Amino acid sequence: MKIRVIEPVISKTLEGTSLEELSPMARPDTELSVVSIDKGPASIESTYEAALAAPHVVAKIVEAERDGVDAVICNCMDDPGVEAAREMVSIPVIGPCETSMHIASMLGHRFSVIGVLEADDRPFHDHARKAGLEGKLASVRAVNIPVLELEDRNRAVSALVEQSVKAVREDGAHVIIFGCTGMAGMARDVEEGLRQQGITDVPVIDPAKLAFKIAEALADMGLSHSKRTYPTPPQKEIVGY
Amino acid sequence: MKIRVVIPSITREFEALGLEQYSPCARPGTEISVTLLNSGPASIESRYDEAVAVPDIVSKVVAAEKDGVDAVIIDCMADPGLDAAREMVSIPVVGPAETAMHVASMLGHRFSVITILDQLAPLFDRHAAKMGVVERLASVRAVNIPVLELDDSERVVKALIEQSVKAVKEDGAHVIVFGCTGMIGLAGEVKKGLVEQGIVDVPVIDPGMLAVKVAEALADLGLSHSKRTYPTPPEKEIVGY
Repeated sequence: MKIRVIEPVISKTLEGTSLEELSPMARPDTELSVVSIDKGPASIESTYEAALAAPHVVAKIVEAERDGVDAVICNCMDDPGVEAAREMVSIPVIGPCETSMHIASMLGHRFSVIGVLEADDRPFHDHARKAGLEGKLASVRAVNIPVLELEDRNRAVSALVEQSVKAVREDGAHVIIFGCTGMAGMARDVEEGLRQQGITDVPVIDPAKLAFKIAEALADMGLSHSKRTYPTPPQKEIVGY
Repeated sequence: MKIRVVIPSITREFEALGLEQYSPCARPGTEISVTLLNSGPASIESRYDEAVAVPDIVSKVVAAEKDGVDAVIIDCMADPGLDAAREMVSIPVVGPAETAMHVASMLGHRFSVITILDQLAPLFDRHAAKMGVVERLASVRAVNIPVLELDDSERVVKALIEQSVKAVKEDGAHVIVFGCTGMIGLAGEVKKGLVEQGIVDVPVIDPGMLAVKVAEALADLGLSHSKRTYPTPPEKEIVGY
């Protein structure tokens, strides 16, 4: 099966992270490809930037379907363009935020999201509310490291552990979700950091990896989105795209 | 990896049947084993049946973990014993109803459950409410065929199609979920039946197969339930078990 990851940004560094972190996890029969968008922001840290990225994300997803890809992931915890893309294709389009919130809800009583910047907490509440899961969202915290500085792994892991401990001890979280797919590959280290602080019973969800596995699961089953929920848009004149 | 299916029934014929039905759902490299109960009901069609099944379901889940199984599935859309079993083990315990309802919520606006008997509708309403997805549950319908008569698959498929069409046309369902794992393997034929009746845009979820796929995904990710949500019960005297 062919799974494609769309990085909804123009920076190439995140492409490298995805390939590095996801390739080893692929099933033997999975062919993974990763592409970035050609126009849009260098990273997404606001709803505005997500909006700039969305039309280009949709274009890459339409292209993926044409290329015979079986399932697509839009690799960003704001799920930018995911619902718009679902209208334009029939293959499954996975949003890591929606997916990790639903899976977290199956794994534990309440979950906290640890994102990049403090200003970003509204979108996570909106996503949770939309999914009907706001009652399971214990809190939204942030590491206060911009997306493009997450490659300083030690700094990122250290801040993730600090915020995760607070989420568990102060906010009642039973599960942690990374609030940025740029944190891919850090779950083991964060869990180790939690254990060192005496917290041994809280799973940490890496949304990029989870989205990848759920994409494989859906593609395996031939299951995709309801086109009744996401019908093809009516034809009309569109300028600029 | 090893996945075990706990069939919450004492009906001996279900063992071979279960293995036959679940094996095709596994990907190459996944070993599926099934186990029945030694004490409990012939089938689950009521809350009482559920209650008498649970203690032995839990002991079979504990045995699975001791046998080195990577993930366990409880083969029943009442998810009987799910929370109790999770307290007693650390490996993932997958409930088909919980899993199918969350994934249905990711695939479409609203879903309907088509189960075996009409009197089970409140069970699904309550379960969906517990999960936070009750607003996405369009309706619960029934084929009105007891579990032990589901082997007449032609009759079952016909009734599933009839109820699914009504769920879509009258109740606003955008996704169909089978409400009994005894319906495993029938999604393709039901989808075909819907298409023949002009309904081409509604995915049909087979919860048994989906449970295997999600179990594989969780085992791949090394992800399991939060022991903070499902802590090991305090030691105490217990008589009769």
